[in-house]
Amino acid sequence: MSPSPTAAPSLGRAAGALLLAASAWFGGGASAADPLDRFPADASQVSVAGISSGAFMANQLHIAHSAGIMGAGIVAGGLFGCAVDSVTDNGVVALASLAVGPCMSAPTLLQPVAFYQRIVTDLAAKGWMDPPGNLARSRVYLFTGRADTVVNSRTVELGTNLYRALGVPAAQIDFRDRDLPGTGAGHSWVTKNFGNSCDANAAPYINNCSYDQAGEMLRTIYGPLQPPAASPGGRIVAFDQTEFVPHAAAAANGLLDTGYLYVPKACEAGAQQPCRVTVALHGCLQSAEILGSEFYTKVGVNEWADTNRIIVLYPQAHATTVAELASQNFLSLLNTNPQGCWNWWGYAGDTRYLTKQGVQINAIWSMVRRVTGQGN
Amino acid sequence: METTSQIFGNGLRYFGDLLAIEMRNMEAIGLAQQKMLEGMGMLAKRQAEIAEGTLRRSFGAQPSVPSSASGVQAAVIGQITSLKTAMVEGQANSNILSELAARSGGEVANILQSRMMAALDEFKAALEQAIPERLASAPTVLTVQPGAQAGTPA
Repeated sequence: MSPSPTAAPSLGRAAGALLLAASAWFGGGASAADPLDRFPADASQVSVAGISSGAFMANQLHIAHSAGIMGAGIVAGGLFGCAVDSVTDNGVVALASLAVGPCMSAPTLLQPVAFYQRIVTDLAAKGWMDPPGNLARSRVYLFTGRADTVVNSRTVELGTNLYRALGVPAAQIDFRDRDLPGTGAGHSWVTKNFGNSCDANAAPYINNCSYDQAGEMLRTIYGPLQPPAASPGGRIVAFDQTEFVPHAAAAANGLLDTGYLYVPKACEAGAQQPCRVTVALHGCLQSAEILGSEFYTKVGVNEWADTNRIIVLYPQAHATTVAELASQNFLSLLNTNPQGCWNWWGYAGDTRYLTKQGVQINAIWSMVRRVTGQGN
Repeated sequence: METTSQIFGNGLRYFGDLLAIEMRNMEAIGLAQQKMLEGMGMLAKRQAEIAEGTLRRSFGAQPSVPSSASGVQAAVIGQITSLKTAMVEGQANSNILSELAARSGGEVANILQSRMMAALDEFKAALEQAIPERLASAPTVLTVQPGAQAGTPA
């Protein structure tokens, strides 16, 4: 899964079409799911996590909403503003070619950390993001695999350095990259016992490295936790994502109609203690329209959520075609999202995609507010 | 029957409408030119950055003189790695320049096309105003005078 705007090869597209058809059966296609419910949740215990394009989005969410998000788990991605060429009065100029080039495969072309830090301060000065000073109390887990051939490790290292430059104390950052067995992890969300071989760089981009990434990530963010459940005893809830997008134009903005939520039994209505909330973001080619339920049931987060009162929100991205864009013009091809990635290079014409005003960030944050009982 | 002054008035208004359309066309062309210049500026800036970066990295990479067989092997491997990096960088830079050019061209084309569409609508509206509906809808019948022959004034 590249976290990128590159078009899949034709064979991949054919397979994707088959998977798309199959995903309707799994409930990943357009559906009239129920509205997202409110739950007894603590708004001060919200965290975000993601892999690849989901890591870039988790990073954007965390930095844009630093006042409301206490920590982040960044796997194989994430360097705020990595695809940004310049900041303008209306937003940013971002390029898909910067995403697939410097951010993923040509790290020598990345800018110094100060460049990305300036983007953060510029956008915050415009009032489009929370003041970055809030980040000082954040706890952050970052991971890059030694065998990752999709997103170069240097990008994740720079993301780590950016957090330091923005004031996150080194003691609150856990950066993991070189201590897994064998040749290390390929581009993937790493699990203890599910998925491809550890060094694979292939679908479903969930690798078995005998390493409990979900557990270490959640412990970094929330501190000591109860051991995970042997199998999750809560429920998966499908919910309607369209209400969180202007004009319900989910597909045009790279969002699937349906998202998913994992609710442990201890977090159902009437719970005695408020629960934590974590947002877990899949990568490109990993949404429910491609993988069905695999990402939101197999990455090991729900097991930890069960015993530690964590509600897990799994928003879903969508592979946007030219025909689905709000308007067709000479720039349409540059605004598509063929692999169903999260928006980290400004597709769909969203020039504020990495700020609180970005369509996807706004949608996901509205979901968080709903779950925690703050929003409508 | 329209009087001469009415016809003259309509013609004058039509001329005014056409002039306004032309002014808006010129504005769009001006905006397109501005976008084109901005795009060229961004391209030039990026090209300069690429050149600067390439020079910086070239001067930064100082090959050392190997003193042993393993040193020679390491030096060759280093050169191969550098070559691969340079190729990846070259491709990435080329893609960046292409995208900047495509975006700039696309923006210019969008401005010109949307103005063209609007101008056609405005021209249609101006025509409808200039030629009253009753005239436009009147059947245009070409009558041939009985006894008239080609080339012969009737």
